[in-house]
Amino acid sequence: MLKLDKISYKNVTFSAEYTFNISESGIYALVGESGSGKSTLINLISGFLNIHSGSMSFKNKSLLDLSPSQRPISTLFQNYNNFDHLTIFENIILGVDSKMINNNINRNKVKSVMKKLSLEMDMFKTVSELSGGEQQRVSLARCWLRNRNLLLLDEPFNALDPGLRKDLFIQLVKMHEHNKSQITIISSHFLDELVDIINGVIFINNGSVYENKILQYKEVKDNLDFKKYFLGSF
Amino acid sequence: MLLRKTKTYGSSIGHQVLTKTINQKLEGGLIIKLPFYFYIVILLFLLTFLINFFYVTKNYSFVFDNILKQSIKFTFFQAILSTIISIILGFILSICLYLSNFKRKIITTFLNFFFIAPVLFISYGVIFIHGSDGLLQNIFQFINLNFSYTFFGIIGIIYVTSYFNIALSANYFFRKLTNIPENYLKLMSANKISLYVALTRCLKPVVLNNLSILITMVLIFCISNFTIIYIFASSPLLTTIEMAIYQKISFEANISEAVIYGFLQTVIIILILIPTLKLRNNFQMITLKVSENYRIYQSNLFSSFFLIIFFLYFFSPCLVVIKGLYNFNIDLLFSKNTILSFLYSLIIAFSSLCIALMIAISSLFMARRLHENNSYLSNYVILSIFIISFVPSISLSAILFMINVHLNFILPNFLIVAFINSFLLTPLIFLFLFPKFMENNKFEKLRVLQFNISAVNRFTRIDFLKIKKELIVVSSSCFVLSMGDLTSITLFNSSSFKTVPYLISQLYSSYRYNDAFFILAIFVLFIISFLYMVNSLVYKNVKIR
Repeated sequence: MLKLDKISYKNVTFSAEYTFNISESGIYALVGESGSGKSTLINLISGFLNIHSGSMSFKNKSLLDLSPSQRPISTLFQNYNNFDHLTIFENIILGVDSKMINNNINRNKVKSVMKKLSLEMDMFKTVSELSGGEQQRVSLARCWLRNRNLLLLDEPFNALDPGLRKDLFIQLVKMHEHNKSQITIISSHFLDELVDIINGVIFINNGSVYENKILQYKEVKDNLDFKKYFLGSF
Repeated sequence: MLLRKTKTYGSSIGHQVLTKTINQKLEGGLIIKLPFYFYIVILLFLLTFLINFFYVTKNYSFVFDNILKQSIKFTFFQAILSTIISIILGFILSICLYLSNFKRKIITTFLNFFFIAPVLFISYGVIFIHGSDGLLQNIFQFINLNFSYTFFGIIGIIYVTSYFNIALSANYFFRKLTNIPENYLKLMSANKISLYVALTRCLKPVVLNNLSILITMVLIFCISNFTIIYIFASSPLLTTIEMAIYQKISFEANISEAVIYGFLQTVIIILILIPTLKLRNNFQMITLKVSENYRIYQSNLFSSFFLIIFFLYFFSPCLVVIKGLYNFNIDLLFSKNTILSFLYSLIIAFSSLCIALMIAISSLFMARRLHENNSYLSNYVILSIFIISFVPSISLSAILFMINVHLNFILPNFLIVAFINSFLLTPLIFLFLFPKFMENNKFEKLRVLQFNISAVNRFTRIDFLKIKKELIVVSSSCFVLSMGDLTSITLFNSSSFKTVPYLISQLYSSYRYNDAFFILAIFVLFIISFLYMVNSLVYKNVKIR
């Protein structure tokens, strides 16, 4: 489904080359040391960074000629996912209507997705009035409404407390159940928290994917290289 | 596990120390505070003089005469019109520049230069193009086109005043646009948000944040545009308060009325300023994580067209430099008059910069110290700097002229001019250095208390290194601003004491246009070389994107 073949990227301080293939839909964890190139990978797939060489395709269609808005992708970051001064409605509808028009059809769409994510509040509240967890749920709602087949999450819940994180992982699973053909890649430092929901692990080491393949959680846990990453040089 | 425990323990100790020490007051640093105290003493002296003056003056009937009413009316008319035009055009220019492929550093250098460019250079540059015997008229005559127009009067005033303020506004908006958080750009790019929707809805608070300060600054600059009115006002009806002050001193030798006019203008400006200061809770600017090279919008036909128009507008006065160099006159360049003028300009620029730097840095130190000690007086320090900053040079000149008359001309003219210029520069330095100076002050205070760092050591070892680059940039700009100023020198010149702008103005008034343009060209080239040298020094080891 999602195939990256020697996708390379270079800038003044960093160079990376990624190769891997995800053949089944599901949720995948993206782990690696800080600065190893996790965000770069997400930015390359999303189209926010230009690749140097290589090929990248999703469902056998090349992604390289498509602009970020044309790619079948929704992306979520750790912060600045919402425009704080805009309302919940505007931030959610943005995913499907860039003019954010307030009409019945759009309101119903937002209302429905808010209900699915247990966001039971006035949709015309500004996002700045919400808590951190609620704000991220608004971002998730936008991704849900956008309903793209690739969902990329760049450490989206790291600033939240463990309880909230768990709650949002449950919402993520709900989302995935809604669109079974979706591939979700979630970058995180807390692999243990994801163990129950992930189908595989992409381990990034010094700008490349470890052994150029998707690993299973058990493989990661038993490997001494990964222990070093999770526990430090002991 | 052990490591985790230690970390938690350490951070909780850090928290305890922070909460314990944060209430302790910082002390010392009298030597750094001295220039600020000196500045306050001078302010009090000026205030005492003014109170005494008002007490002695019996007749205020002239305040209600038609000249003043007309001056106030025209001052506001041209200032408001110019402010509206400058801010709208500045906004459009900033968008065109943002969409263009020019490097960020080139854009900011270009905008900074045209903001600090000597008023005289732009004014004579504009006259050289649009004057009755200007380049355009000559072209029209050459092609037998019977079309004549005059650039003097309100059109010229607005055209030249807007020049500096468009650069200022564009710089303000451009910085805002390039400071949009990277994730916002990604969000807009992924959702295909048009530039129009982005600016009107998504980025509205980013663009409009602190706009009231920009409007106030531009309005005040437009009210205090003495040199432009001095050159372009073509009839007595086009007199601003500043011109009225100048006329009272120069033509009527009526210093008392000039002082009262000056006082009136100061009050008007403070009244404009106070709502803006009230609107702001603090002057700290928000710094966001931004990307300098991530772009989602590209230039289009409209933006390229506007950019060409703007470039023609900004660069056309530069033709006067070519004209000036064409009239190269080595005798004039090495004449005693020219050399003395350059020397006095340098001395005044250097002295005013030194005074302004001492007062501004000392005030910054005071404001931060009071802020760190949770004193409400901190805002008053900031207020004192800002209020005095907007006392127009000509008003201050009138007051100092009066004081010097009372003191039997004991104060040398060059010292008065340097002092007046330093008042103009102090707030600029203060404003420019404030965000950097205040950076991390809460945590710094903690370290200062923990390691018992003295105020002088903190200033020389921490603050100075922190602000070094900004200090060089702002100092060079202020040096150029002071060198190019023509306001106070129009009142305090003498046969032996004149600056380059005054010399140029004299040559021009005596119809020696070629000589005036020649000296102007040399002066502008000197300024550009100076700024280029400073820029190279600051960005010597920085890779430009």
